Amino acid sequence: MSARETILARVRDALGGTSEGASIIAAEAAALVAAPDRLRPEVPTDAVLDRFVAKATSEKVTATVEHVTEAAVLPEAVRRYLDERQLGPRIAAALPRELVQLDWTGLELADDIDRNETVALTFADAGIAETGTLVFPSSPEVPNLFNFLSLHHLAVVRARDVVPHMEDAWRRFTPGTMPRSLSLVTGTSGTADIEGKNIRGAHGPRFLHILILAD
Amino acid sequence: MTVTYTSQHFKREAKAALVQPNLQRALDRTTTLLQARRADAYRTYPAFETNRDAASAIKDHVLRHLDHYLETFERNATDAGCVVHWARDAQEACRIVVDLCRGADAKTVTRVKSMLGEEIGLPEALDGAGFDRVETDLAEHINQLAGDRPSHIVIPALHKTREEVSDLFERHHPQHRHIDDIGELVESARLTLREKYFAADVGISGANFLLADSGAVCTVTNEGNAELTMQLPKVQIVTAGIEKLVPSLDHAGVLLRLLARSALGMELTQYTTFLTGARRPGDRDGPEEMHIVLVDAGRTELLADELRPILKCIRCAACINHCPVYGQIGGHAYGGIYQGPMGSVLTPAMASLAQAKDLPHACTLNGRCDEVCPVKIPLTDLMRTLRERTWREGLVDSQSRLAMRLWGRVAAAPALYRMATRWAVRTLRTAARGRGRIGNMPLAGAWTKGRDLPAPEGGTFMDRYRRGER
Repeated sequence: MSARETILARVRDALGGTSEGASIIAAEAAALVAAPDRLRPEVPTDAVLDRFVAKATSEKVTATVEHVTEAAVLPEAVRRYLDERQLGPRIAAALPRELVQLDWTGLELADDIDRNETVALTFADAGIAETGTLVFPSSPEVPNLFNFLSLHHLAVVRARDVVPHMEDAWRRFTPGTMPRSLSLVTGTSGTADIEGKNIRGAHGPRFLHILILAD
Repeated sequence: MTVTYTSQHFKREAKAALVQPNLQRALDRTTTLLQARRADAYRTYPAFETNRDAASAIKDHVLRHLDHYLETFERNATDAGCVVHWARDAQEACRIVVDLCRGADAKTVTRVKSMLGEEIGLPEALDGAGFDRVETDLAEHINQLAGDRPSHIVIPALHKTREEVSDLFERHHPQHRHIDDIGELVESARLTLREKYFAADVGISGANFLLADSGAVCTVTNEGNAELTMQLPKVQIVTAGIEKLVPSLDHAGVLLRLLARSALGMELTQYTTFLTGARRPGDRDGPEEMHIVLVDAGRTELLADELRPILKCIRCAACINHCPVYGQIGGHAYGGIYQGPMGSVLTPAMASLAQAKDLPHACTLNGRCDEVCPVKIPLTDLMRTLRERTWREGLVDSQSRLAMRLWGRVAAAPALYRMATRWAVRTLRTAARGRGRIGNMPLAGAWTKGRDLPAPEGGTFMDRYRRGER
């Protein structure tokens, strides 16, 4: 018997037979998550964006947040962030086409990322107010590594894409449409492995700056 | 490769741990902090209890239909472009991983901390096969340099001070000068490991959850090391216990809301990633191959046993952080891979009950582990079950057996019991000499060496009951 057959046979022995039909199991599974509001922190519908900002900038998450009134002034906001810290002009950027087309004069938007890249600029698919989290699905347009390698991570999220809970953020990913990699990022890379002291920038970004783009 | 268990030396090691000042300081600092953080997370999350019920029900549901979920996961992961392997035991799992690394002509292999990997002896197997194994989790990196085993399942280098870490880095990191600043130590590891991520041919991780309906693998970290380990090398290998399945993303969500809160008092870990298959057409990064090794290694035996609920464990370590015994002796004394209450249930199953017989007895049955377990595993009940087994299998020493027999006789005769307890209460109060506690108890010298015995107040329970003190 193959390892697969052996293990499945042991499981069935332990359970005293084969499982019930798939539809019965599916119904039971669905019932377990049928009332999600009983299980999650409440996020009032009129305070979604405020909650997102409060959580993202909280002591445990440690991101910084900036509101950008329209796409046209996004490059200016990015330039200001870099100037204040004397960074740039090169930034590794993974943005959707409509944002690449903006006027990025004075900055070098690279579409590759160096192993010791200082600044990366990427686009989040959604924000989650419950926890101040950004959602990054991988795609040919947005290579996943851009979110994890640089010291400074600047991330653009549209205000209308900020949703109350994680379930809202992943609703559009069904079993057949899961991206190769789907990352929920809540703040910066951190570790408390030495004497429990929180240190940022363990392997990935030490700074996360979220640019919330108004609709 | 098999892991060497040293749980038979538990009593000796526990005694030694009690007099290690560095360890005592580290334990006290960390467990107190983690308890406070969890309490804070509990207080600010009104749905915590409801969610524990839901999480427990999800885990029970999956175990009840485990064959269905294993086959569903295998089908969907395969459709997503993964290769699914099955391993009956630790040796088989290690052989599969080593063969895959050889097939990839690997020299450097990066690893994300995974307790299953530790459990099956994967680090030793990779070393034995001659690969340059690189642990990327900071604590595991420290343990690797020191040649230590994890002393805690979430914070594996809990036993090390910053000075000890700096000594290690000075010897092993090319650019490191002796600095005790923790920020500098982390930076030194960042620079050293960054090169390794890019040099790696194979990346290996465990899984926090396997999603049956999509074939996705979920990993959670705070450091972001899983993302770099699993995106950069051309081959990616996931080793996961067969109990890690959940039906879907929404079910994973229920467990994710509890995992980081229970472990570290955080709402969510910094990085939660779902990986579904290898690089796709048009992708500019990601591995060319993704392999998933589903490991039994004793789990089907637990599934058939009264100990089945331990398979619900999501490895958050809340039971460990709240265990007064762990808080005194730390993780290494347990002599295995897992520590504290969950370790005291799992280690006898993974080594043998004879070897690990002292573990389920090293418990005060105070029930704090039951209270904090996010999936409501009845840990003290399971430890009681194991205690009964040590008795039935004749693993309890003759002195204890004699004492228990005598106790049994006395307790079975009400008149004799009342007389004996009245005598005991009086004697203990005399021995306490008005201080309320006894520092050295005859016949229980070993017990009172590390702690005081509280003296009884106000007569036996039966006497007080009869006097109407209800």
